[in-house]
Order: sequence, then C-alpha cells, then structure tokens
Amino acid sequence: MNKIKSIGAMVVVSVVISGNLAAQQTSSAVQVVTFGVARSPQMLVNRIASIQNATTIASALISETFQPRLSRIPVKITFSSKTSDKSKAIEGQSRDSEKAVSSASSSSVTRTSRNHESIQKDLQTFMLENESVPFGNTLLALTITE
Amino acid sequence: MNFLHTNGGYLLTLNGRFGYIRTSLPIVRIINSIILVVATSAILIAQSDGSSATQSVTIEVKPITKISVTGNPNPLIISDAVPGSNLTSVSDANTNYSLTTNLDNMKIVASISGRMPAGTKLMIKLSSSKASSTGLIDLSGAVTPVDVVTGISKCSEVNQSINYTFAANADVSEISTQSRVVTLTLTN
Repeated sequence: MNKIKSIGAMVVVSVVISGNLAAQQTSSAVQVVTFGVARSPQMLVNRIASIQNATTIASALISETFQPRLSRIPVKITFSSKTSDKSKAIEGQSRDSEKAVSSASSSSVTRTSRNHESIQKDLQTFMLENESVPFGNTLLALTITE
Repeated sequence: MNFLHTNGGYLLTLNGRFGYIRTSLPIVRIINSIILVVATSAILIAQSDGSSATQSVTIEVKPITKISVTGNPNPLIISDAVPGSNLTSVSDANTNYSLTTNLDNMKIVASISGRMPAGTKLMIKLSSSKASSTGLIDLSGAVTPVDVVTGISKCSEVNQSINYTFAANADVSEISTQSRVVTLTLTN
C-alpha cells in the first residue's frame, strides 16, 4: 500500500514539475487585426483616352480597365465621347452584367452580360452598331460607378 | 621620550630631570605583548555579552520566457486599385513587440483565429535585431502556428516592429469589416 502511495506521489510531483516548466517556456501575446475591402467606384476606373475608332475604344480601354471583379459587383458603366472637330457626343450606360446598354442618343442596344468578356463584347457591339459612334481623333471618357 | 632606531632594534631613552634611562628592544616587546593581551581580553569580554544568528540564502533562476505587444494594428482597408492589377494592398507597422528569455533555441510563432476570406491574404513580418526574421509570412490559413522569428537565444529585445499586409485579388468584391485574432507565441 505504501509503495502505491509513493508511486502516486511521484506521478503527481512529476506532473506538477512538467506543467511548471511548460508554463515557463512559453509566452503569448495577441493582437486583433481588422480588415475589409471597400466598395469604392474610384478604385475601378475613371480615365479619358484618345481613340482612333470604336474598336480601339473597346479593345484598349476595356482590356486595360475591366477586371474580373466587374462581373461580380453591380456597377454603372457610363461612357461618352466627342470628336475634336464636332460637338457630337454619345452617351450610354450599362448596369452590371444583367443590365441593358442604352444610349442617350436615338440609338440603343440591350445586351445580357454575365462576365467581363461579354461586357466588353456588348460595348463593342453597341459602339459599332451606333451610327453616332465617332471615328477619327476622338476623346472618350469612361467612368464606372456604383 | 624618544625612540631611536639602531641596528639591533629600537632604543628607548627617557630624558628628564633625573637623567635618562636607556634600555633596549626586549623591553619594548614586553610592553607590546602586555598591550596585546589586555586588548584581546577586552574583546573577548565584549563578545561574551552579544549574540549571533546565521541564515542560509537559497538562490535560483528559473526558465523565463516573456513576450508582449503594443496594442492592435490600425484597420487594414483596401480602397484602391491600379487598372490591370490586383487590388492595392495596405500595410500597418504601428505596433511593436518586446521579449525576454533566458533560454536558447527559442522562436516566435504566429497563428490566426480563423481563415481569411477567399482571394485575400493577411501577411505578417516581425523584425528582430538579435535573431532571424523569416520575412513576410502568409497567415491566411495559419490556424496552426507558423515560424516568424527563429534562432532566439538568451536575450531581451525591445520595440521590434510588427508589419501586417492585407492583400486581395482583383475579383474580390466588397468585404465588410472583419477581425481576426493573431497570436504571437515565444516558445521552444
């Protein structure tokens, strides 16, 4: 019986010593990290480019600025252009991937887009089909907002 | 009374009205012995009247390991992007850590309380003046600890910088503010 008690005491002492050493050899500190991604339209694009024709508008601007995130975030794409020698301008807008592309001018098209490639295609089509799309030395403003 | 030094020792001369007594070194020695005996007796008598106590002082230095941080980093909010690139990452290096250890072969490991949202990364970098920083480490899925500083020996370091970087892919949509708890552990 005494032998069992001794063994039991040794086990208890060993556990206490081990626990004490473990506690002494580790120390921790914590920090709370807060993060987020803002939904700021300015982070997408707001630029003016010089264009030569409608195809250049779509391929250059869209490939530069349209990112995959556009297919997930509902945005309004507004574009306008005017030639340097005429005060002729067209305006249109697209509401994300499912919204129509419409024009403030007499011409308008409606497309259903579900990704950025189809948005690009819609815009190309719109600009090519729209008789008011200017050619030549033309300034194009492309703005994306929520 | 004068003490004159001669080859054989000291010579005591007493000058006075009745002439002088001239003696040699043995007398001086006898006088010194008498003074010594008297003084020793006085000390012994004094000691016999006091008391003393003794103490046994036990000393020990245990293994010590401590780490602390200065608050939390500022919110990491992504709000900008360069067209054609991923979202512009944001960083914070406004917090520091300090440590003290009297052990060798120690390291700091970091872990996160939960995985980061898909397409995002939370990275951490701890500077160290006396050990090796592992550089910018991705904590996004570090539910189990990862090394951020290694090779720490007996030392203390004060106000070493903690740098957090939050990055997101271009296809990550809006993420409302979230938090994660990052645990830094000094361990072996």
